[in-house]
Formats: sequence, C-alpha cells, structure tokens
Amino acid sequence: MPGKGGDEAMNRMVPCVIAAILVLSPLVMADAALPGDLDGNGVIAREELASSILARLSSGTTAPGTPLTDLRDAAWIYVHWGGTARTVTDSSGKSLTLTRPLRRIIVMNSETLETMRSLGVTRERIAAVDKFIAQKPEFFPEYAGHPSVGSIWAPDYEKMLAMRPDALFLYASVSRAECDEIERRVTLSRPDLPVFRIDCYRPETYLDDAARLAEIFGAEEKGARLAGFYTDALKKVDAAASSSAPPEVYFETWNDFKTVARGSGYHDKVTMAGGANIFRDNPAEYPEIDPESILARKPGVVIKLAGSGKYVFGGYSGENSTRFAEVRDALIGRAGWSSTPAVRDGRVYVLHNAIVGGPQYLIGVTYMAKWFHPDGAEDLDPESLHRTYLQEFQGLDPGLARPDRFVFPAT
Amino acid sequence: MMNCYFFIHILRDYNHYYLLYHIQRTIHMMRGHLIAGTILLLLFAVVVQGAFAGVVERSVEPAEQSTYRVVLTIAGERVAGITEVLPPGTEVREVSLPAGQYRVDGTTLFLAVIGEPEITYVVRAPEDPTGAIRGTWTDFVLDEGGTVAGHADGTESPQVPSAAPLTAGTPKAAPSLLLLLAGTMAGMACAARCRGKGGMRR
Repeated sequence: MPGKGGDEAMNRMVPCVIAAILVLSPLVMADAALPGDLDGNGVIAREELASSILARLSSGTTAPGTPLTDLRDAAWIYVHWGGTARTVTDSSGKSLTLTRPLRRIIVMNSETLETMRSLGVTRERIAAVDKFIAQKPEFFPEYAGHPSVGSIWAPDYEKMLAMRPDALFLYASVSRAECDEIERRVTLSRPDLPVFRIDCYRPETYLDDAARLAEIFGAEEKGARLAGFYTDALKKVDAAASSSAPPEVYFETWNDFKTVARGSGYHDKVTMAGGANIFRDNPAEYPEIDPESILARKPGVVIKLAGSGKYVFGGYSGENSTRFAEVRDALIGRAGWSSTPAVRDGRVYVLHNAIVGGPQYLIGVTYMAKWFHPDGAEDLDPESLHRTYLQEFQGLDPGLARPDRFVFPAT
Repeated sequence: MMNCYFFIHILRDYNHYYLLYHIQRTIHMMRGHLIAGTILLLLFAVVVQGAFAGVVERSVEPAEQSTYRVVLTIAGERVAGITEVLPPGTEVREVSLPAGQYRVDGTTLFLAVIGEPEITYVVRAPEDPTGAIRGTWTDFVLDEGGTVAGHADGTESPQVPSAAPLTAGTPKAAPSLLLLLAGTMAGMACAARCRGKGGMRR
C-alpha cells in the first residue's frame, strides 16, 4: 500500500510535469482575445470575418493569411455565439467566459457526457473521459478505449494535464468534496482552464443543465428539442399521476432495507410519478430502516432498485437479466411480506437504475407512473419513450430498450 | 513477392504440373484482385464525390456584350471561402457581395461567404477565350471543402455558345487529390490483403 511518502513524492512530481507541459506547449493556454476580432472591440463583425476569410484565401498570392485555427474558431463563434464571447453560469453558480469553442474537453461524469451526446457533441471534441465511462461499451460504444483520466475518487492529474484540455467538466452537487479538490489542483496548474460544474442528473435542474451545455456548444436548437421531449413526456406522467390517489410506495435502493426520503433524487422521482413515499419524512435522505417498519406502513407498491451493489444485472449490458425474477421472488418471500397490499396485489417491481438515476430518469418515472396509476396510464408508453430517446438523442440502437433488461415484471 | 511465392512451391514440391497450376491460379487471382481493387477505388471516389457534390454549384449564362453571368449556388447557410480561377484575360466586372466580401487578384476571385445562398458575378471574356473556370470552396465551420461543381443537371448552360470558355465549368465535384490518394491506398491495401489471404489458402 503506498504510504504518505509516496503521496508526497507524487505531489512533488506533479508540478514538475505541469511545468514541463507548460514550457513545451505554450499554445495550450487559453487565449483571452476573441479570434478574428480585428479591432479588439469584443465582437467579431461580419466585415472582420469576411476580411479574415479573404486573407486566408489569398494568403498564397497577396497577403499573410489568418491562421486556420483562428479562422475556424472565429467562424464558429460568429455562427453559434453571435460573434461574441460566451459567458455561461454553471450549476454551481460560477460564471465562466469562453472566447474559443471547446474542442478538447475532459468529462468526468457520465450524465453530462450523455447529455452532451443528446446535444450532438461528438467524440472528436472529447479528449478524455473518466474510467467508468470507458467501462460502459454498450451505452458509450464510441468511448470504449478512449483515453481515461481515472475517476473523481482517483484522478490521474498528470494525464489530465498532459491531455491539454480546453475545459473540464465535473459534478456540481454529488461528490462535491472530491470535485472541489480536482478543480483546485487542476486550476492551480492551469489557472486559465475553465472548469464547469454541471450535474445533469437531478430532475429539477436537468433541463437547466442541458440548456447550459447547449449554450456552451452552440447547440440551442438541439437543446430546445431535448427540452421539448422531456417536457412532453413529463406532461403525460403528470396527467397519469393526477388521475388517481397516490399509492403508498416503498422504494428500496440496491442495499437491502435502505430506502429514500425527502431530499433525495429518488424520492423526488417517486413523487413525480404520483407515488407517496412511505418513508418521506425520515430525517436522513437515504435511511436504513427496520424491516418491521415497512410492514407497519402497509405499502401498496414496492420498487426495488437494481444495477449496483449486489444487484448488478440487466441494464444496457443485459447480463444475467434472469436475476430480475429471482430478486422479485426474494422480496415477496421476505418474512411477513405476504400480508402487505403490494405483494397481495402483485405490485412488487424491480427497476434498473440506468433508467432512473441519470438523464434517463424520465423513462423510469414513466414506468413508475404506469405502475402507480394503471387506470390513468393509457398515454404512457415507457418502452417507446426509451426507444425514441436512444435512437433520436443518443444515436444508439433502439433495440437496446428491451423492457426485460430494465424492469420486472416487464409487462 | 510473386517469384518468392513460386520459388517456395518449387522447392517444396518439384512438381511442374503443380507449378503450372499455381502460375495459372495466381495470375487468375491477381487479375481478380486488380479488378476488385479498381472497383473499390471507383466506389470510394463515387462515395467521396457524392458526399460533397452540389454543396457549391456554378452555372454560367451569357449576359450582354461579351459578358457572362456566373451564379454560384451554396447549399445551406455556411461560412465559407470560394476561390474562382478564371481563364487568362478574363475580367471581373461585378460581384453581388459587399465590397469587403470579395477580392480580385488578376484572374482569381476570392469570395467570403457568410450565409449567402447565392452569389453572382459578371465577367468579361477575352476576344479569343481559352480555358475554363476552376473553383474550390472551404467551409470553415464544418471543416470541409471541395470543388465548385457544374450545375446539377449536367448541362452547364445551353444558351452559351460552345466556343465560349466560361461555359465549361469544372467537372462535378471531383474529389480532392488527397482523398483520391487515400482511396487508392485503401484499394491497394485491400488488394494486397486479399492476395495475402489467397497465397495462404490451400
């Protein structure tokens, strides 16, 4: 096990590596000036862009040309940002001003990368990802084998800086201490590096986060289309949720007898789907509860979350999907559960986290709304929603949306 | 490679009938691979040509007093540069763009496209015209480019007399030399790979 001495040696080495990188690649430093802004007034005017294009075209014959990178950036800024620098406020409330389009970014959270993909940001702009993204070849096939810079718990700073990124994306709310530390250490070496803190997993802020990314990447049109997709789907959920009284729901995470309460994202999703979380008033967000207290509250619906811990199966990899049935049987077979309304009425479900934990929450919420309000669910088609999302926004095979890999019972 | 291939078999078998069989078979295979490689190359060129065909198209029509009106049609809203190289002696008279968006250098016309779907310019041809207009375009946002193509219907401009040089637009979006080279290499690599596999077979 590496000791403190090893850490210190590493700490001493990192600045040396950074200094070497800075010396060897001075052009990496972000340029505060707007490319193609010939009069320096902070706006790339049409005339300035035309002048740069003509200078570039005629560089072989009459005048020194504009560097191609500058011209490409100026043209991009003119088209996507209206010819001015773009100031974006991230989820943490920090404002960052960009004077160049981002072309070499590092993304440390898969939810943000997934949202970027919905907005048409392609692999060419992503210099590196975190190791968990690289380990999901079914959902992120284009990032299998892509450079990885560790994880937010064990970042590879040396590699991160060697990638010469022009921006870094980290979580804003989750794992805040780790992300703060990454931001601190990276900006110590590269003070000019924009570090965006964006979540992209919380339902209440998801569309704002997506809009921020759309601004950054000049993808407002796609952002509006994504927002429309979510809004339409959630309207249908709302309609179903208000069609009947909310059933009492016991929601269990992948840790047995660990549930959720007010303040947690899963509680919000249960509520959004029109359920009444039986442990909503527990003071902890993710409380471990006494098995007897579940029976005392007589849940009408039970949702068990799969996809992590000892419940790794199904999802996009589709591995061991037969375990869904085993898990449900085990829940039903728990001592005393046969008397609960949920078991008696056959309303015990297993739900994979892939479609409820991140940007795909609307799919999981639609499944839950259908389970909670079967009589008002005629407009809810979670499988079709899932297929559309994969095909139109993620560019993936819609066949991956097989219900038997994400929910049980699947019908 | 071919000699080596035969030599190995001579050493191994000393069988002339067998050797003859192999000579015939190898020639047959090589011919097959050559054809396959050529087809692949052509297919590649067609695909490349198709990808950028018609992004910028040129049509030419006669105007008054030995002048011709050249119309460039640009697909989509683009920020691009177009370079038009005119035949010797040709004079640019008028361009539909604002003054700051074009430049004339001898018989070369540089155009800065900023969202225009169409650009028109008028040229005066010399009395004894020779040559044709050659043009290239570069999109600086999408980072792509190609050759300015003749009009999509394949007829440049029926009104223009055949003797007039400006009617002869450049061939329709020919792929760049680099892409053709890449295609050739891909074709050759494929042929070599097939040949390699063929040699190992038996």
